[in-house]
Amino acid sequence: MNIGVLVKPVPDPEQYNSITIDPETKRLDRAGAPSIVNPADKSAVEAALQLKEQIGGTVTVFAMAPPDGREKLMEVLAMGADEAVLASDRAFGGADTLATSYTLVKAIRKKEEVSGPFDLIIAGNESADGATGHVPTQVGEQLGYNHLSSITKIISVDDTNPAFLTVLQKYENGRNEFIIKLPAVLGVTRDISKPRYTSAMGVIRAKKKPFEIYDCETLEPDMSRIGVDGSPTKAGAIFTPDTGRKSEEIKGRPEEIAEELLKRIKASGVGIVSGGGCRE
Amino acid sequence: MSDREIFIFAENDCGSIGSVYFELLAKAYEINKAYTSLDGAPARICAVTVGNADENAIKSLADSGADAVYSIRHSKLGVYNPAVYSEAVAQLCKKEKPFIFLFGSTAMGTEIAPTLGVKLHTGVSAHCVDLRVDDDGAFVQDVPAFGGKVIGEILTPDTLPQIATVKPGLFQSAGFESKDAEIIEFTPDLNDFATDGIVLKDVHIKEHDSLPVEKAEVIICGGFGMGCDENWELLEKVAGYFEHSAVGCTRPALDENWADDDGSMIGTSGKTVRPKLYIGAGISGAMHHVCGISDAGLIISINKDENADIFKVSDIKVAGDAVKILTALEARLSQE
Ligand SMILES: Cc1cc2nc3c(=O)[nH]c(=O)nc-3n(C[C@H](O)[C@H](O)[C@H](O)COP(=O)(O)OP(=O)(O)OC[C@H]3O[C@@H](n4cnc5c(N)ncnc54)[C@H](O)[C@@H]3O)c2cc1C
Ligand SMILES: Nc1ncnc2c1ncn2[C@@H]1O[C@H](COP(=O)(O)O)[C@@H](O)[C@H]1O
Repeated sequence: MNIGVLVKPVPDPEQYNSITIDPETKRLDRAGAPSIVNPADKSAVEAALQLKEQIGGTVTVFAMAPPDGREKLMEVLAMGADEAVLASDRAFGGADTLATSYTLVKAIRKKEEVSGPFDLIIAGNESADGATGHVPTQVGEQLGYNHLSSITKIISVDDTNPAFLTVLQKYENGRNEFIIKLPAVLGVTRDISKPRYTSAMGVIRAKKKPFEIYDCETLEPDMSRIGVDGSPTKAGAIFTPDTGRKSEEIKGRPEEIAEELLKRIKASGVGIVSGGGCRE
Repeated sequence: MSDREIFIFAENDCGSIGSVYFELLAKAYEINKAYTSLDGAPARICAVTVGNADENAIKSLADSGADAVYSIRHSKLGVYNPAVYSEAVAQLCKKEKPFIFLFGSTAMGTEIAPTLGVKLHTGVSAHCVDLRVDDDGAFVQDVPAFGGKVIGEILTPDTLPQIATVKPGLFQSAGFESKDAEIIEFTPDLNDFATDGIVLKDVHIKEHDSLPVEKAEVIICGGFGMGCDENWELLEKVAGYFEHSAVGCTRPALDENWADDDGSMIGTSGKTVRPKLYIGAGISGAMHHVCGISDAGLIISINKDENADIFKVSDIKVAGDAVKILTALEARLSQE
């Protein structure tokens, strides 16, 4: 099975609390947050590697990112992916989900010209920074493939022709169990698998793996569908919401704190059950 | 008829309409009011149901305060199939050309909305925290980035409909007088549309033995700082002293299996809640979590780290060991 995985470099979520907006320039200050591979995408790579180990095939990873995205793709090659494609060009910048997914689709199609068709594309269900969760769906729709998002588990693979996967989708009241016909695109949550650790050997091997960079000249996209111009949504002002509260500190011995807390709790108008155990 | 139509996607689950519809409806009323005061032309608010909704569901929509209900019906829409549902909704949009289309960020909404974006070649904004009309009449969609630390304004200036998704629980619903909405049946042309690409084989419904967090008035929420299973039980015990209470969790607590229901996780990938009282214990205050509690009434936080970020978004700060404080609180509650 030939599998493509969509991998997005994102600023490290551990640092988001320190992100600020410069009051003068109105520009984002990322507080030097380093880039990491989007956490859900690592799980997506792991799921692809497990499928490959189970039934054979190849795993190719794709990113649309500035040139330094290369390092992040090297990390997933070190995990065990076979090949990497970086779609990178100034003209791709500022893309919304529709333009991003169009560009990724162009890259997937280009790669298929040399490596043959993909049976399955796996993406993370949401990126840590933008977190729209729309890219997997829009990639699937533009490829003309079946697509599902919020996938928590691949239950079984029916590797006949045509091939099918049985998958679980997280929804509000539980899980939907779907059978999806390949070729298909899946948006997967972190539940899908726990990413493996990278070995030193993996890092060395990664350096020898095929790595392609596609720019506008290679992809020959419809220029009206990429970057800022190709994005039907336009970004306006940014601001940081005011979620601050007064943070009044209560001090003392635990019993004293409990006494004071209870006073405040009662004032908030909630109902207290005498004797407790109300939830049993 | 107004040439501005606001469509609201109404998911129906066994005859009852999902609550996010009513939350979106309240927001649509606000948007409508803004447009009316701007240029005197009120919008028409329309509920859209797909999947052969039954009489009860249609009736509750018709009485909800909407101006019209579009009921999309076809023999191929009996069972949920995102591809077919999206196609059906896209056909309705091509015919009716709505101005704005609102969806809940539910599993269904987050598949249909972006699919429509491709089919209709228009913009879709995700997980909006507010929707408003600016002085020039532009429809402004506020979307969160970096877990909600930053909010960005999004406009869809050139294409229609302007599609937006909103997390359930984020907007507050309100009661409206019934307008005895006109019910319009729409039959999409799906005869040549393949339905075998995706087949819903089974639905595994999670039975709740306790109140879901989004319905609770009191949430006792635990994070990674709770440390172990036994300490986690303390949260359950404290919650037991309150009416309409639930235990919530952060993602690490779920990963540790201290909490066993992923439906009780609060934040970006989880629920948005608005309890009267939220007590957070052993939680650092990452944006991805606290964005889900910003509308809570009283927020009390217990963290052993004096400088934890969670304190910045709390009304009351207790710097100390969560187990000791909760044990004392439980002891005090037992005397009530
Ligand atoms: C795309 C994305 C989506 C996410 N969505 C969510 C989401 O929906 N919900 C969510 O919760 N997270 C989410 N996260 C994860 C989030 O970024 C944080 O990692 C998480 O919220 C941290 O949980 P925590 O506060 O329990 O753990 P930690 O950050 O590990 O904090 C533990 C805290 O406990 C304190 N502590 C330790 N021992 C004690 C003690 N004895 N007494 C008192 N305090 C103690 C420590 O000082 C520390 O502050 C998401 C992340 C990403 C990238
Ligand atoms: N620029 C990108 N390059 C590669 N994959 C991406 C990119 N943007 C989004 N994705 C994929 O789409 C998923 C969902 O992203 P998003 O829609 O931004 O939440 C991510 O987890 C990635 O798998």
